Amino acid sequence: MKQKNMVYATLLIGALMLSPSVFAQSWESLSTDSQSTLRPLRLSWPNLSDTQKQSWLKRVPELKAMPADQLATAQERMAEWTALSGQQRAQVEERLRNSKQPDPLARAKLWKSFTGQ
Amino acid sequence: MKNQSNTPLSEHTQQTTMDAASIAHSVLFARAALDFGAENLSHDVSERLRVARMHALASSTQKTKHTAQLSASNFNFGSWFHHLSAWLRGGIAAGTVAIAFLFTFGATQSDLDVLPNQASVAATADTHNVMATLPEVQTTRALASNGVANVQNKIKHTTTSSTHVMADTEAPTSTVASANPDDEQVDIILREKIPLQAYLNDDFNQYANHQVMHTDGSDTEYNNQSHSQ
Repeated sequence: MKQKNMVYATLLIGALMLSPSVFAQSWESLSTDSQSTLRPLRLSWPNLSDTQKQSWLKRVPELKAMPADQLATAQERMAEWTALSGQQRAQVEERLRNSKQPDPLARAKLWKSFTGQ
Repeated sequence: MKNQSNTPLSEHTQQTTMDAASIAHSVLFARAALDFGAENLSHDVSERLRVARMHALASSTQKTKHTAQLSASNFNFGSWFHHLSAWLRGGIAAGTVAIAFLFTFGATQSDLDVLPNQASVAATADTHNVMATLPEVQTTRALASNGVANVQNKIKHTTTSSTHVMADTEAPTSTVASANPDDEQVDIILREKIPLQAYLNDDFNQYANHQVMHTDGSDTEYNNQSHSQ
């Protein structure tokens, strides 16, 4: 009986140890490509949740395939996002979700006209 | 030729054979005496003996059945696992842990390495998947931006004709279903063309909403005029 319980405990501990939360990826463990693509997130990386990290890592191939100017724009957004406080992030996200203009390009035109560029 | 019947070994064998023969003779004698006694028993006694024998046989059969049922009901994972040898149990445990290990790290690596190949193949399918999984409220927005942009990106990557390539469709688009809020958040951030600070500016938000409403109003007015004509 004791042996059986020990086997069950071993299996349970093994499963827990292998769960993604325990093996959360540190910045140093990322590939060079991922680090260079997600460079603006470096400082805030430890504060991101595991699902957020996975979400960003999923986008690495997509970002790598982008032209340099678009990648620069995306990295600017990343840097901006990391610089925002939690409240500001929530505000930005809410306004983006509820925007009456869902097209980012149309919003860019509105921004140009607003700033007089 | 030497007579071997006088050797000690021969004497011992002969003695043993005689003992066995006498024992067998005694057993036969005892059995005959018992049979004779049993034949002389009264009918009542022999009937009681028969009934007792039947009872004993019946109870023995029931016990056997009960034991078989118990052993069958106890054949669950724990007892099954418990009956294995220690090495086999250790091997099964190690195999389970190894499979879990491979599964976990395989999934993580696939996110990093396999996605580029999947992205080009699944771009069109993802549009439908996103539509199917997103809530109804988000479907309109996804059609307007994410879905259309995905299709246009697919066209851009699979055709060489410049007439199908639209410069304004190069926004980073989601190649994964945005059912995960974090995925959706990342999608929003990467798709945005203007500084995020703009959305902290109340003046800009009012201006943008006013402009959109004004445009919608103009369209409505224009449509009404068209219908009246």
